[in-house]
Amino acid sequence: MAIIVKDLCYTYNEKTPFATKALKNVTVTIDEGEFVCVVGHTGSGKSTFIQHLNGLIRLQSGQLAVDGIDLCVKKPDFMALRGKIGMVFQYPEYQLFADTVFEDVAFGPRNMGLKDAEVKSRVFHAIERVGLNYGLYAEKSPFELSGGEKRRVAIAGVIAMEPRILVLDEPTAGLDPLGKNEILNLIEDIRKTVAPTVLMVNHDMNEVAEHATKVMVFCDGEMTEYLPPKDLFRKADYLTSIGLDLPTITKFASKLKESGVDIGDCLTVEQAYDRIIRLHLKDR
Amino acid sequence: MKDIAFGQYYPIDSFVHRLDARTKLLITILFMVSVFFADSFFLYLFILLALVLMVAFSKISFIRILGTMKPIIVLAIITTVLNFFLTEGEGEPLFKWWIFELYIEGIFVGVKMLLRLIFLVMGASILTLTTTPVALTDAVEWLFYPLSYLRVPVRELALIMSIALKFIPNLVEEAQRIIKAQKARGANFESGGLIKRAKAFIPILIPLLVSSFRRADELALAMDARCYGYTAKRTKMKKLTFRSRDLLAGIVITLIFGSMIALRYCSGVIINGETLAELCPWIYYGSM
Repeated sequence: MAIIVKDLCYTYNEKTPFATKALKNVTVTIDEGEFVCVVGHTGSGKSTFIQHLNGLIRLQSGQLAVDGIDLCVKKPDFMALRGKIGMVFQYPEYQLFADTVFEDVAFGPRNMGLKDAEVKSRVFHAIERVGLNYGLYAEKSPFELSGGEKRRVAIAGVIAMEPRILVLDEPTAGLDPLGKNEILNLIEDIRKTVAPTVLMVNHDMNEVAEHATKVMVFCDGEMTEYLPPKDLFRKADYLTSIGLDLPTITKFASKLKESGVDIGDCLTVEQAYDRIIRLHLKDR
Repeated sequence: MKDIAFGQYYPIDSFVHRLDARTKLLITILFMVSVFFADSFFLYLFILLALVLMVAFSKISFIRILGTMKPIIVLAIITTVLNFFLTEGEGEPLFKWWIFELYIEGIFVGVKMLLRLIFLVMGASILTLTTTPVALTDAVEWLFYPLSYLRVPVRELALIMSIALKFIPNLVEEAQRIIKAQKARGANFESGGLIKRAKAFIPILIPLLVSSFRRADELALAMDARCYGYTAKRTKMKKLTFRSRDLLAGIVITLIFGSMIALRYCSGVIINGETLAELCPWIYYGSM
């Protein structure tokens, strides 16, 4: 089991007029190999939750263990934890700082205290893995790259630490459709090679339907659902009531059903296509 | 994340909160001037009285106001110690060790300086704790308005000030986010020597600088898009108005500080053949 959470609660600005409960009794177990999409409207607690996972927010109450590291003890081993769980924040390109792409990607591995040769090989693999040519990019300044390239470099900076679990906060925000697809394919690729477990905050239900193996729903600080997307999207009324959308193709299928053409629940365009074609052939 | 204590506006409702920002600004200025006039321990009691009134009527907990003192603790300690040992007095030193000599005058100067520092910071933080940055800027603009006849761009300066104030929380938030991101990559800000620690801040400062420029650029563009500066006169959404409570607060504070300053300069007044200083020496105890 990659992540075990029990009764996790968190309050911002305790004992002041600004006090807000951000997390209420979150309990969940995430297995290794899952691609978890975390959804919920702004202020629902999802950011607070993911920041707990690598100790950026200290535990107030509850239990939390990540890949065998217990975070309830007084002084958790943060260095080991951060090597195991990589965190890609929203707009990660805004945290680039070094003179060259190489130096920026090497920041994490160096902080882990790795030897120069190991750092170099990890940086090489990370840059290539995010789809950039090492020879072309390593010595460039990160500030002269395009938006999409900057984001790739920032992601490379995280996967160079070779974490077993990767957490991403809206990795596709602000990108064009092509860029979004590239980043999502990149995440799928990372999942197959470096980090088998992925948690991704995402608002686009089409992307959720296509990539997630499990969906985690947050509402007002509570984790209300943790189930596979095909089960979640059956609860259309519930999702609408908490301000969340359905995948376009699922809405399309339910519209068809209303007019008497039942193709079942669909999550992806391919699924819908197969069923419509089959229905069409059967009719003939 | 948002628990920075250094005098950020604290949104509750109180008498002081409802005062006109201009009144509060003027009172604060008067307060600070008075702090420099007080030169004996008895006169400091007047300052203390004003401060206690201000705190009581602002409904802000004393602990919170003390909290604003954090950034100057080191400065306060150094000032006090330096004053203790570097002030030369008449008569025998109270204490002598190596090159350090402590005179009674040194203690007086040190304690008074310390009180002065504490009072100044507290007075200023009551102002910023009870006044929104926007209202404060308006008050500053009003105060400096006469300068605009000398072609000083008061409005623009006030705008710059308000933008700066408004961006502090944003910048802090941005900094926190960058710190988190770099921490997630194993950055360590707590251990190592001075140079190593200073170097550890580069991964925070550079992204922060870059994003400040980006924000400034975006803001300038947005202001341009809304024709900032093309109209002759800008009106205000929230107009400041003096009310009777402003008059009341003004009178009380002026009375306190007025009598204090008067007392200070009345030491030579002769009552029944003796000067006030001879009659009531405790009023001037500690002054030089």
